[in-house]
Amino acid sequence: MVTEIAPVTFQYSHTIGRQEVRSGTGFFNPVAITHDADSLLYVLSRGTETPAFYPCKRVTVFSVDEEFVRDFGHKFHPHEAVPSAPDGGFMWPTSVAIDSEGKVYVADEWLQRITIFDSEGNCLGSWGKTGNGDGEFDRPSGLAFDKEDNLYMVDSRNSRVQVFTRDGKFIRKWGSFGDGDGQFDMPWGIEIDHNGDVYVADWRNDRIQKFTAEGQFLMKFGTSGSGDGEFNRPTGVAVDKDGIIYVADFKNDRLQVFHRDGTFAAKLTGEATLSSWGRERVELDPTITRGREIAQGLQEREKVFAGPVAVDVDDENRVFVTEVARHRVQVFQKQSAIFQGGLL
Amino acid sequence: MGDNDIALMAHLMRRAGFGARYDELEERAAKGYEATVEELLHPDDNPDGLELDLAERYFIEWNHHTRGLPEYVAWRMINSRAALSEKITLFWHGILCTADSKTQSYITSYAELEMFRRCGMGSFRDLLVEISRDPAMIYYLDNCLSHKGAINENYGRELLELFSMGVGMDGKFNYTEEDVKECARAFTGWTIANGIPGQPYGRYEARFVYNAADHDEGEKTFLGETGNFNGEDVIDIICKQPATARFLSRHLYRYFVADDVQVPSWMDTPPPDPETIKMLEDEYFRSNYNIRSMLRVLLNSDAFKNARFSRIKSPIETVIGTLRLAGDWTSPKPGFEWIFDEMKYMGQEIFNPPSVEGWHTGQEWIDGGTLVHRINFTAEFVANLDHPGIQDIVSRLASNGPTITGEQLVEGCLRYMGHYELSEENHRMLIRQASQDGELDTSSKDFPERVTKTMQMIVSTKEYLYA
Repeated sequence: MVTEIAPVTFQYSHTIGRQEVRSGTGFFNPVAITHDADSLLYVLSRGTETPAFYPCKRVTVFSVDEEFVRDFGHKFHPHEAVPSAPDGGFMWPTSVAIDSEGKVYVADEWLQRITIFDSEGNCLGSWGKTGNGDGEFDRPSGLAFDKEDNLYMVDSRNSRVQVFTRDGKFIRKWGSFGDGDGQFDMPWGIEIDHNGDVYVADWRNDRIQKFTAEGQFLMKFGTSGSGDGEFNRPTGVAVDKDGIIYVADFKNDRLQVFHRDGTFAAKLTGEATLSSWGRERVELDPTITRGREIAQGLQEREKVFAGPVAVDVDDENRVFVTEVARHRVQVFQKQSAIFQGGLL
Repeated sequence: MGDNDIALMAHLMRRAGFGARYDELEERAAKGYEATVEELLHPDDNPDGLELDLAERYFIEWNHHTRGLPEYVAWRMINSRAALSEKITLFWHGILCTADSKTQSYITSYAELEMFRRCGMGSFRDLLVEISRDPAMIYYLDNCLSHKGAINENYGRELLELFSMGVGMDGKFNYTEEDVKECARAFTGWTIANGIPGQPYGRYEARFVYNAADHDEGEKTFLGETGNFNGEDVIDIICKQPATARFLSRHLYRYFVADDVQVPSWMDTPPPDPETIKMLEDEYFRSNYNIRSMLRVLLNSDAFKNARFSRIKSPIETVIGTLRLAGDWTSPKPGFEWIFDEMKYMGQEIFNPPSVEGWHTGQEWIDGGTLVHRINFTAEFVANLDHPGIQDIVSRLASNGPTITGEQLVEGCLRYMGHYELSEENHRMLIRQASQDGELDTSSKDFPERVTKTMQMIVSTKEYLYA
């Protein structure tokens, strides 16, 4: 009889990013992360309204080794952020997802639309209609594609998940407001695992719910608090190929890790170091270099998560944790529980 | 529950808060004046109604307080039911002043405001200890540059002059230059850690450090007492002084009751209401320097209750009060930075008092430019029928019957805007204007506009400048 679940352990790898209020290498209040078939990472920066910081709301594409590839998208000023605003700009971007052709879909919860870009960042158009009818939505949050290129959307203020074709045709929905099984209160992140099951970060209920692709409730875990297995506004969820579940426990400033049955496995609180892009910035300014040399408690204070809002995991079991308040991504490698051979 | 009860409640909420809509005034008046005062005095015992998790979800940069903090503070003022908690935070922000123009660290400045929120109605002695340990203050007034054997007097001087005692009282000086130096010596070693640069990962909150090796352990003589004083000892001596009781009482009176001359004139200008000030001074000592107790005495006093419209509203009170009246910004939406700019253009920028002396108040809020800006801002908001608070006023007036007179229109607007009172001349002029077409049909299409035009005229009066 099995009496012990294999421990889940992680090796910190490196940190990517830095605060960049305009464009190029860095992020500004990043809120979402995903990766494409070539393992390129896509980070969505929510940015700010401050006019001087432009474009600041954008998608940044880069490699795991921190090679900048491109960025695209721009921000609207508040008075421009109306339903007729031209495609390609953002006001309150919330999530990014990539289909099997490499097209990039960005949800905007103020403009209430999904904007589509090709893999080079050219805007292809948008779709979306505000409301609570089938196919209408109110404050779209998390996005995720299944293997058939159906787009699952967290329709946050309608307390439901909706499923669309890539061009926005309604397929199905489930969920209502509440705290019962299959109900939601301001849900945020969403993930589809390798079996096609769906996980939703039920934000204001401080829990994760799991469903079949058709919306049948399978399980839930988590309750309000700061202990192991408890959450304070979980925002993002990811599942690796082994079924391990990662939850961005936003207001507890940590990443929690769960076994496939929802039992607590581990928690990470951050190990950040100076990123390559960060080092480039530091080396430009001797006062920053000097400041870091004399800063007291720098390593201890700099390493911890501040607003871990989104998490992604690739097929190599690399875990990417995005921090909104530190404008960076911390990368961890899940260590295998399977003996890999070699000498004792 | 009569009109007088609601008018008194409107007064209380303007002073101990930032104003309230009529439905809130009715609700609070039904509960009773003293009960409402107690609720306001105990914010921790009552829900503030703030959905900060939701606000921080949409304005995500507010998370961890790294950016957008003036807007965050404004958001709290607009939406919190714990109005006095926000008002006292602003009170201390204007007295124990630091400015982001120097500190350049919103995260640290905001931590100071959180401290005011936490300690602002507690013991004045504890508050002075906290502000002396506050990293923003230590940096702003250079106590981090004050060392054993080489003091910087800046903090020691302002602690006495502007934070606790004042230069003088009843025509006499409260302390000497030697006291300033001894005070500065006592605070050597109260410093901050070397901080983490804002690049590449953004600002970190600065931290207080007590460096015993840099503290002057020598004997000091301060305000007539001699000993091996550290900072807390000096604060204990300060708190015992009659001048401190007077200084704090006068500040509370000026902020909550009626305009007074500016602080530098206090040495030679007696307080406007010596009786009430004396009552506050007595309570200061009786309660062992407890600010909440002083506020209780003040807010329940006849002097306070009878002091309606005797203070010129600050820009923050004007903007926040208008937004609360209109019912705007009760849920997140883009464009919030503009609200912060409005206060700034009227002469008051959160996190940036013009000097360590804080904002000059009363008539100094008003000049040609700020007056026009103030009236334009307010007039624009009360004319916007999209705002639920404005719609509510129209509905209440329309519910009076199929028609109302011009006088009823004016009286109703004044009542529902918070029982404002106009001079006889302005009152007559407004009624004449409102009555020029005879009685008003409350079901007519242009009735809402007639209401908002009347409100626009009210907010353009001199009387509306006052709270």
